[in-house]
Amino acid sequence: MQKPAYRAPKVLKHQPIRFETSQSWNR
Amino acid sequence: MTSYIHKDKFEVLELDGESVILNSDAFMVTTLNEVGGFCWSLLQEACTIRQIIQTVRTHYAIEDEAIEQDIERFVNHLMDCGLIRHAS
Repeated sequence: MQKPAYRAPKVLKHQPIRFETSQSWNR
Repeated sequence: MTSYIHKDKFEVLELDGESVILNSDAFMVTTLNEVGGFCWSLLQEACTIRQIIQTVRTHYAIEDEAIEQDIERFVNHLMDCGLIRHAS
């Protein structure tokens, strides 16, 4: 079986969780 | 030699080869690439940067010297994100 390709390990994104409130849903 | 481990028990999702880590205490979500996800899985148990490098080398069959800097930078980034800590 072929070995997976190596790429430098990276943190792609680090961000706050976005909450959908009833207010934003109702906008 | 310093060893590192997950700071807490986080929810992890695998999406399109990326690992999405949900930190519900800090309300943060962190996405790692495929190799980052592999390193993350190793850090379930305490391990040193040297151990991570060795395991990644074997798993991906690479001899590149640059991998050492890659792993070190990545581990420091995880520390900055508050996802891992020094294992006592």
